Amino acid sequence: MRLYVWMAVGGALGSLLRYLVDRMFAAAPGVFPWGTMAANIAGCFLLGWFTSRIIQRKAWPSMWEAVVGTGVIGAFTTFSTFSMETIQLIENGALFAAGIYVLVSAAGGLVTAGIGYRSGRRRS
Amino acid sequence: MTWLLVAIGGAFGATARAALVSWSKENGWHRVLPFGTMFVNVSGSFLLGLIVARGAGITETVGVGIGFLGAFTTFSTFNMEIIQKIEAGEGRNALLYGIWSYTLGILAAAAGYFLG
Repeated sequence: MRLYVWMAVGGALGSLLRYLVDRMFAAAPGVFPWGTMAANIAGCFLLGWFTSRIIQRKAWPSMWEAVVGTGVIGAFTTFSTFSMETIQLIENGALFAAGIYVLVSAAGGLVTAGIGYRSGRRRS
Repeated sequence: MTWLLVAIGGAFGATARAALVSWSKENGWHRVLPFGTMFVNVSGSFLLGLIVARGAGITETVGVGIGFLGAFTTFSTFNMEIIQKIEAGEGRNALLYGIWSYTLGILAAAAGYFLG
């Protein structure tokens, strides 16, 4: 039960951070969604690093791994907004932008997750 | 005020995802591919499509759309799962998981949007 209370706090924090990043890019509907893309790619790097540096080394109690990894970072990134923004770009006729958005998000997220994972594994 | 809506929605969204994914792992959904994560991402995309199409008010759009569904779905865990499949030498599963998640997620958002 205590896990879920802290998970809620983590989710609130991650969502607020995502909202803040989105506001910094002043995203308007139909305009290229830089904010979501930035939050998603940054979150992938963070979770990659967190996985190898904290989770795999059992550096923290497992409850806090879940609160930060699943809660804060999981909520900071989003898949639903990404999907919806792709549809909005397509609906606005910005097919090229929609394609770029999907490709850069997919490649960027995967590559930065991999870089984060590798960098967390390195001995400091 | 919008900050509070995002925070409350995010609290419930992340908790719901954690509970659902943990339940799905216990029931063997993650044995081949992480179907629990895929389910939250696809269903969350569908629901967001519905909400946007309905032209919902600020409470629904910000609290439910950005807060709850934003946190219910996840992009970082999804990509980390792909990396872990690759690390485990399951390149084919990694590719399948990525392609299916993107295809179904974007189609679900479109379906929600056009049904809404």
